[in-house]
Amino acid sequence: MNKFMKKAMAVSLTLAMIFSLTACGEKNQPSKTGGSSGKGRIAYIVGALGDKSFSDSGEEGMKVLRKEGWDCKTVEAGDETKADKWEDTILDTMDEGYEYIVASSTFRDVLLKLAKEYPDHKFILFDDLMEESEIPENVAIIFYAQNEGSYMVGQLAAGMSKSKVVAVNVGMDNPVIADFVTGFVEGVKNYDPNCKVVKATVGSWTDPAKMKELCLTQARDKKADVFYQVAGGSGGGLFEACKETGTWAIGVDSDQYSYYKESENPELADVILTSMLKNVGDSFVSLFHDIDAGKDVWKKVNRLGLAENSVGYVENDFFVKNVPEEIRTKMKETQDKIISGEIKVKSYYDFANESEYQSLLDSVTP
Amino acid sequence: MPMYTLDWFANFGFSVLRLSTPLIFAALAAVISRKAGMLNMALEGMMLASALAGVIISGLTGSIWIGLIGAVIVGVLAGAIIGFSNLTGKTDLYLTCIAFNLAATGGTVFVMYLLTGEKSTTSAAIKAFTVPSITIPLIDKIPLIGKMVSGHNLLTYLAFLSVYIVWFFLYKTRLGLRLRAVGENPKAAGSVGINVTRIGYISFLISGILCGLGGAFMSMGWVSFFMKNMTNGRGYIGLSAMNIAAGNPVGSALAAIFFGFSDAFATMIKGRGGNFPTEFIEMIPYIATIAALVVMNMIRMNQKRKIEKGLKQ
Repeated sequence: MNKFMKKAMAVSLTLAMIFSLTACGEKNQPSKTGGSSGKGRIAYIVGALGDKSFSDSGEEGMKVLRKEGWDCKTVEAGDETKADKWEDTILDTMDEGYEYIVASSTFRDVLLKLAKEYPDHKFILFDDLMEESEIPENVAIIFYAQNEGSYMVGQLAAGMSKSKVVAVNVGMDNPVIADFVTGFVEGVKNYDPNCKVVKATVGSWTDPAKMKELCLTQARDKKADVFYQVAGGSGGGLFEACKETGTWAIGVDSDQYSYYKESENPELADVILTSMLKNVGDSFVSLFHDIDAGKDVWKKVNRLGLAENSVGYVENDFFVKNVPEEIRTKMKETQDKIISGEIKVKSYYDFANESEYQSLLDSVTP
Repeated sequence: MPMYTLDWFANFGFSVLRLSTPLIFAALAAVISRKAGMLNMALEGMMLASALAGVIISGLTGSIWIGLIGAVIVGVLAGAIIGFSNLTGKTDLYLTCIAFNLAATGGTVFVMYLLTGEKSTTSAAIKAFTVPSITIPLIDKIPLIGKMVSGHNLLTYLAFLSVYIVWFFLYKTRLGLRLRAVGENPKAAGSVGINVTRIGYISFLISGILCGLGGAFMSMGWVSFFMKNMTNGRGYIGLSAMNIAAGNPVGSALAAIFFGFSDAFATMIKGRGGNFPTEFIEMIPYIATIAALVVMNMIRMNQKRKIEKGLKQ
């Protein structure tokens, strides 16, 4: 009996394997024909989907591209703790025949290394910035002008603040985040030179408790009354603190007002005036349209800002209801000026060194 | 602007007590294990699992209290799993604890994804319930102290109450005496008829209750949702607090409050804006642990030397 069971087990396992192999084969078939029909095969590498902002926005772009006939695959490569496996994960995807590899600045080192080793593949590195002379032939860089978007919400924050102290709280410090902060501070200064900014770092993307404590402290000691979060998961703590202290919050990356309004805890949305948007998905779509049209996007930085509608802010009913018209008009004017080039928003990447950034922060510290 | 007013100190003290709460629970959980002769490194994972359980169960049942009990039950179950592996299965305690922490980090995200489809936080998917805050009548009228002590989350008061309960349990009850006897020397305790395995289980279960409360405070008190890895090392800091006081419940709680203080201090400095390197302040708990361990060992060695000297004379 036991022997029979073992044999039956072996047979069924073998069958299962064969079936799964054929299943794979079948699955690959249409995608290959899809590739030959003119459009390419794109692999989108992310840490993990489900962040409701940055990564998910990219996934939305992939969905659009898929409908247009591109063969898109999304690969969740895991967070920093899996960094040693990123290269293998991407290589596996390339082996499957994906010619375009799309990944964020998190994967920068791996991507640049692979770009050198596999000149026939094309790599799209988004949310990053490099000297154009250093970019390999087969790499395209997408850079979002988060400083322009943050400049806009900085104007809003300065306009809405009664105490003339606003806060920008970030998860961790890195160049992209510093660019957010730079734009925000510049926006506040431009709107009201007397308005002060407290900038603080939580030290983690996943510590909402610490973020909440930080915001409560800022509201208490510095009387900050508008809070801008660039802190990923920690941001949830900021919204709760704003709810408790009756202050305003500004979200980031995606429309966090509607995200919470449609959730199980809609009352959390009632502090979120607007969100600074980073339309990652749209940027993929427009980049691949350019590639399809034969435009040269390689070996250069494809900079996307307010003018390209890749960054911006949410103007929903809640925003219109709570922001006085005077401020809204001023914001519109500023937006037009940035798009026309009349205002050139300072960027973190313009600074010669770190101390210039620090002195900018010092200049607005209350 | 006059900043350092009486009000400011009251608020700062309030902040210290709130930040200390999960650390006190974790430290006490570590104390119970330590007194039973074990180093429970799984506090982090146990708290994380409880934090998620509290949110899910309160969301499902619509009751804060059932959620809180659920968090404690999951904490106890976690303790039972580690106890079973270590005491009945004879696995290595450290490896089991490390494995449990890793499993909890991934497992909480997995369970959250299965139930809600979210991978990072439940803040949108599950209706939030928080354990209420309590204003203590009369005491809240006292100038400085009132504002500092009154108005805290129920679990914060429970944390301080637990310090007394754990002390009473360890030093004033028969079970506590047996638990300490096992911790001092399991073979000797076994030889006088104490069931060492049973005591081991009991220590893990009590540890689980305390971690359950600590986890619940994170997700149902401090903030009102679960976030992946939201304990962020607080279990380990609790463990350090216990180590500083060599397992004394009151000393461990004081060490936890000291860590809470340095956390509040770092937050206060950060909240001022500018560019003070706050990473330096965040090192305080860890440096303090090392310093305290060295100092304590030196004192202990000194005493030993004195005793040896006395014996010779």
